[in-house]
Amino acid sequence: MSSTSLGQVAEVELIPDFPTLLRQHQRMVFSIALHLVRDRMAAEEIAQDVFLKLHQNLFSMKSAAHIEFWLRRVTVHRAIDYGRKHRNDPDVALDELQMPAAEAQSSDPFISRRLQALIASLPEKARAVVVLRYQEDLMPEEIAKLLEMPVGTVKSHLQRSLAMLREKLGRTLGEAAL
Amino acid sequence: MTRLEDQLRAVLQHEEPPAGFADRVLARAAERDARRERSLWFQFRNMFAVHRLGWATAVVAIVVVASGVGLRVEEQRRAEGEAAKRQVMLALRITGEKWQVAAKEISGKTDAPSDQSHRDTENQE
Repeated sequence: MSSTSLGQVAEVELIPDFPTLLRQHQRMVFSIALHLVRDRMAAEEIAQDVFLKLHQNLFSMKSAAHIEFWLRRVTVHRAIDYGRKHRNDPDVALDELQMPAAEAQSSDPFISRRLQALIASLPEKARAVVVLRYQEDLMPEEIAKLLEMPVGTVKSHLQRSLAMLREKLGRTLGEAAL
Repeated sequence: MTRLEDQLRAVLQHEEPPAGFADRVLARAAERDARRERSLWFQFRNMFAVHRLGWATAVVAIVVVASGVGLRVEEQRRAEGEAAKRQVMLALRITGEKWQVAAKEISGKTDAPSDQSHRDTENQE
């Protein structure tokens, strides 16, 4: 076998089957949707649609990294679309939402709820940037690629969002909380 | 990293989807697959039906064209036969006329010596 064909074989990556991918990424997809639309039922609906779309397009996926990137991108876009369609719907009270994991990890459930409410009040794109940065731990360059926007815009969204969150949270809780 | 960023990370953690989420997705995917297969089968059948109609049309067209061509060939052959017949008849008529002319000439030549001998007899007398 020639070196070229060996290289080609090395490049081929086996992609897990759909049920495995679904179980592997369901938390990520559901959480992105949940943190963007703030409604568990809507988040499940979005997550289901995203996975069905993956199932439909699985043949075009090149690697595990490609699948992860694709899932994040499609979920964010679907969630933003959902948010735009339901902009005039009565907002779900954040206090009614069940966020057990977040409350368990946070030192203060009150701060958690307040912070969730403040994140929810961010504009759609800024909220998507914050979710991808702090939920998915992506770098601004990765977020820029995913959301198809300049890195500078991503950084600016982050800075402005952090400043706003700091200010409003500080106003509610006092500077000591931050 | 600021405390606010830590708090954001804590708040924006991955969450478990509702129980049975994966099963519901798999069921919907299976249902979609089945629907698509049914749809593909239906399309295939339709396509086959269309092809059947196409074949039938093609056969009818071939029969019609072949019949037309056959009729034309037959008509052409008949016309050629008629022409050949006319030529034969013409040839026979010409041959007959020539035969009559020749026969006349032959009979004329046969009559001429008898006249001469008759005249010789008359002179001798």
